[in-house]
Amino acid sequence: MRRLARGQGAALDTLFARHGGRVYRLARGMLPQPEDAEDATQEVFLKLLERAGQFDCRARFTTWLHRLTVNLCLNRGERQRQRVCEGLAAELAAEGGDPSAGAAQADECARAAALLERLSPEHRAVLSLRELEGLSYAEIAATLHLPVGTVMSRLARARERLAAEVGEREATKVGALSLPKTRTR
Amino acid sequence: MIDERAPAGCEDVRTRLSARHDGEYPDPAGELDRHLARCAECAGFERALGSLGERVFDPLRAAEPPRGLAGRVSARAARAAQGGLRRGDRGVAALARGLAAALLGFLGVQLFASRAPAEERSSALELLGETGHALAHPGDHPPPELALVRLFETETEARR
Repeated sequence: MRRLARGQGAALDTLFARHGGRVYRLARGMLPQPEDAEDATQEVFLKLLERAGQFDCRARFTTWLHRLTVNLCLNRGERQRQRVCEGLAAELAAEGGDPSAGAAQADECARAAALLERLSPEHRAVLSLRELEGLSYAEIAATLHLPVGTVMSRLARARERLAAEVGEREATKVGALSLPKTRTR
Repeated sequence: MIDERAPAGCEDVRTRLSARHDGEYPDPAGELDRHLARCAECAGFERALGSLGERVFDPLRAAEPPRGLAGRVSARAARAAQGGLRRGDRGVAALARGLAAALLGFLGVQLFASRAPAEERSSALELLGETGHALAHPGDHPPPELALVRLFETETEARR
């Protein structure tokens, strides 16, 4: 980061080689369309370049990077919510019986992202940080500026909701995961 | 954090089950398992916890950045840096023009007030005129920063 702050563009390449995968996966978990995730990844690294001078070298770089990624994805998600929901509705309708949707069904990654898109942005953020990045509750709390207890309950509510979504989809095929309806926070 | 002394309702139990699944809640008293033995719904949630990773997150964990993304990031960064530099140049140029204009005014007043011979005053006024023209038409002349340097050099020379 010190190299980057001094404007050495080569440092950006090194940082991308080290962290590009984690930023892309996190964005992929939070944004349903792969092109949005790619775009968000590019924006994260541009912001990195822009804000390199603001990075406090005593802080943990990955926490800063995760926060940057989550915030950017949350902002993008809000702007694109309407468009994405329309796209998801079309996809779900297609899965109902249109044989031409076979290619889309084969894309497990896209389906997983579409399932996550059914959750609130806050739920997606905690789930992605936990499941895709393997962060501890304390690390998620530090990244999102939340109490650990909130992280814990938010993760549980997110999983309930996600399990219900999976169950709904499975119900149209081989049978639902029998999950109770619960209140969500 | 969850208050461990609180009575365990289903929502609270599922919060703890989720945390136990992540290795963040050890449940040493075995309270969760006792609840699961008598609550089919929470037992269903615990089974779902195991399957979500495989069904939803494994494909996403395997996702790799698209080929060529690193190059596209570098290219965008380079374009952004160039844009920033141009904006920076414009800012410097505007500042230099402002300073030069102020200096021109100051020198003009000094010249009129001075007792220098008419010939020297005339050549100095000519230089001021040239510089003023350069400031007014930056595209036809060296950048105003250069005009400013020339002006400073000339003014310094004139004082010797």
